[in-house]
Amino acid sequence: MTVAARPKATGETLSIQNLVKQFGDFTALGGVSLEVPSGEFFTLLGPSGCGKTTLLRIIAGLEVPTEGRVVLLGQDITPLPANQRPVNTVFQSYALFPHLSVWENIAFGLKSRRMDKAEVERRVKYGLEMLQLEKFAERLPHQLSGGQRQRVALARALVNEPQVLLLDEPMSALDAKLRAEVQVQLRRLQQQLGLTFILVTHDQDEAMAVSDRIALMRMGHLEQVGTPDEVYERPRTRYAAEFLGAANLIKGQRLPMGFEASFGKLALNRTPPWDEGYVAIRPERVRLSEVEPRQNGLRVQVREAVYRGAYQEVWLKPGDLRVRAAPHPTLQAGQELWAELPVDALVVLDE
Amino acid sequence: MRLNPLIGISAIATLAFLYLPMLAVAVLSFNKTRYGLTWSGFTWDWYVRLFSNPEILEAARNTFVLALLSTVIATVLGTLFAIALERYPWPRRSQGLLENILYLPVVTPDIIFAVALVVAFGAFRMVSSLFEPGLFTMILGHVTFQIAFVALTVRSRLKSLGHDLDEAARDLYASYGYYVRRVLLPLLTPGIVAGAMLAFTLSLDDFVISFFTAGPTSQTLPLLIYASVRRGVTPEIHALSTLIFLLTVLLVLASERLTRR
Repeated sequence: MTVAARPKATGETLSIQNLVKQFGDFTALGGVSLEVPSGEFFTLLGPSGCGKTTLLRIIAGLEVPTEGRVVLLGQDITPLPANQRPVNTVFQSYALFPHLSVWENIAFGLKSRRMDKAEVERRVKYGLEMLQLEKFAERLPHQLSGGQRQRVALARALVNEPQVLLLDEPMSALDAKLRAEVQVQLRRLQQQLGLTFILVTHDQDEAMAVSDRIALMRMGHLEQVGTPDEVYERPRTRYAAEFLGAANLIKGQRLPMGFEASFGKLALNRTPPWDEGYVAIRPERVRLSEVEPRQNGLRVQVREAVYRGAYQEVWLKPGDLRVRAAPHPTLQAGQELWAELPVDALVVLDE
Repeated sequence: MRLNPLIGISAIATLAFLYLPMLAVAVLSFNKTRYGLTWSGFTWDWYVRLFSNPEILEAARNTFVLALLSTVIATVLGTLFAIALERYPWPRRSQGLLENILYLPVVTPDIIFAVALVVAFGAFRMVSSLFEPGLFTMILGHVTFQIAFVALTVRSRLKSLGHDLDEAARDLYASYGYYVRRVLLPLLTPGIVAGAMLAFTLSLDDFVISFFTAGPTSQTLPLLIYASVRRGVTPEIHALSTLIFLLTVLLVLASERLTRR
């Protein structure tokens, strides 16, 4: 009784080759290539309009690419319509059939393929169990809570044993607390099943929490692809640094041994590839202290400090650095102290 | 904030203005007096006579046959038209044009439509005797104005359904036929039934189009009422009018209920 019983394919499940999508004059995707290995939880992250949903819809077969190919398990599926692709989607709105019970919703993809009755029963039962929906089998979608509906949408997709499960912002309609729970469950489910998941989201915390790898998208291009910690700790571009975790960007010139910003010299552990450019540092990596640090210390004044409960957000001058500091002792505007920008926390961006 | 009582009074006055004439007719249909407006006692007589008058029964039969057939045809065509309008990927400009065309029959005066039909049938008659004035031409006439009402009702339902469900169905391996049978039609049914009821009511009450397209053997109730009134209004006509009014009210209420769901 398992969805994961299918032999696990090795290597690339999904290969996206130079996908271009144009809507009239608007280029939604400008030549995107990607390899997603089997069993990976892969996330397309970016702001609205970056092309992430278009990419997902092309994989699902709901949108036809202007150029490029989608290859699944070595087979070119670009010309296949959505209803012939071994791929299923969890829609943002869930798109449950309002006139069908939970049971019938989950059975829909099985019955539409004329699967035999016993098999349909078995798989629906399994889907109901997997997502703890047994009690709701006879209910209609409007009789369910948002979280329950989302589980029905997941079950309805998963019972088809898709090669790839596509998730289009499936958590955006849930409240913050439930969302955090569902992220954990989703990750666990994906690992148990060993399935390839492709998630679309604009929420960086969500992307971090669930993904094996993240593709950060911007204006129809992949800005950076990597594991969550790579993308977070080693952003390559200003966009990546700012989108993920709102890093401080420090502009300056290259020196023979480091970097010179407007407020002073900083040591780096990598020689910048440019003469003038940016280094980034996360707000939580800046250390504040009363004593002068050994390296990369900076005498600063608190311009503003906002108490946020778990931490305080501090703006410093010079340099307009934003720092996430321990909540105590509470800092006051005008207070002078030392800021340390640790060498290993300074990321040299490529531009 | 307290509302000015005048608003309530004016609302009641408006309703009275709208329904008092109908109420008067209903009251008179139970009046024993044959001529004039004096009340001389309650009677079911006029209703009884109504149902023993062969001319009226014949007209009633024609009315219902006409309404039924034209409604079935208009419902099928109107539903297909709405689906095509809403789901087919029309270029934006022709979509707007089609929508205007759909509204046109609703706002065009019936008399214009009726005259156009007379002209058209006149021309067709040269080809086939099928277009001699009669039930057939009346059905065609009624269908032409009913389609728009069915299509508009079904289309608003389609709009509220959105595109998510047909994408979900495709994603779940459904063929187009399977999707139509299992998802689209079941969800559209309330809209289709409401549109059909509206069309049926319109056909039942239609006078202008019927008047211009009817033949000697296809007299309907509205035409019969018109002809009788010219000879002088009798309580039988009051009774008939009251019945038709009640039936219309029932149909409209039922259609209203279905669209609200």
